[in-house]
Amino acid sequence: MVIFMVDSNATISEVLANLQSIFSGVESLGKAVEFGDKVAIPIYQFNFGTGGGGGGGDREGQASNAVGFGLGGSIGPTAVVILSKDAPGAEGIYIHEFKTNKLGEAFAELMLRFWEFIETQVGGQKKLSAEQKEKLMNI
Amino acid sequence: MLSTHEVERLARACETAAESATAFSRGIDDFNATAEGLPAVARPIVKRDFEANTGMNADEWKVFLGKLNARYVAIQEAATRLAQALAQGANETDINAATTALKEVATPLIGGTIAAIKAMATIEAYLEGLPAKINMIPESFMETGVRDELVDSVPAYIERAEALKTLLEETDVQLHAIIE
Repeated sequence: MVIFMVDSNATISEVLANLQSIFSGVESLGKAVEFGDKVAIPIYQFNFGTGGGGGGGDREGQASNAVGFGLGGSIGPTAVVILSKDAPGAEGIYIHEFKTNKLGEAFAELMLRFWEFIETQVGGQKKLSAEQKEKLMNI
Repeated sequence: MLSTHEVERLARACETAAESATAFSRGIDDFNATAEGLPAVARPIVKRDFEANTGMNADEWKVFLGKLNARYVAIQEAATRLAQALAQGANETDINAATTALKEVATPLIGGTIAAIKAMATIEAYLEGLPAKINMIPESFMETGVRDELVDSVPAYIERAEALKTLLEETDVQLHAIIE
């Protein structure tokens, strides 16, 4: 599967629309979340392989800086697509797998904090004391 | 004067409690399997939430429930021997020896029953609040089918926790009545 973006000024929304259309059939693309100048799109149950390329040359008198990247994969680990608002087009797209990428670990940590927030909303339970825990382990 | 019926009732309750501890331990296995099947980003959240709100992580729960099962089995065996001695009209020395053996094997459970009941109440309360938490997980991280399956499975685990808590309370009363 290959996406070509001839216009290097393609907007983030167009890129998002492309990705959504590609993955809508398998419902594996999550909702986009904005973090400052980045847009993160979580992807679950997909294993990605990526490849990219670019080319120069003229077409009908216009300079072309067409670039493309390919996605291929199967059901597999979670990944996240990061789109950079400051770098429109393919140059601003990064795909990271959580299991092997530091960014994924950071994102997981972010979600842990999010979960802690949820706990404050739902209400946590009283923890077992060390003494109680010792009694349980010696029962 | 100990009654055979009373001791037999304790033996039966301990047998049920041992099975209940094993059943709840299988529930912990289910939790582990579910957690491992979640997307990588959700996995540590679920594990951390479980430990933070139940006082122990899944492995510690498994250890506790394994020990509880073994303790109940040991008490059940000692109670069965005492019941047999009573039923056969054994002499006082044999009955006293069987009673002492029962006391010895039951002492760790008696000492830990309050903590165990509290632990079961804690995990039961956690389970009761779990559906609300599951429903707050963004769609991006949990498919609707998985979410529904998880929420639907929670009441069965609450029942298991409640059953084991009740058995802990019942056997505690029965043990005190026989031993003291």
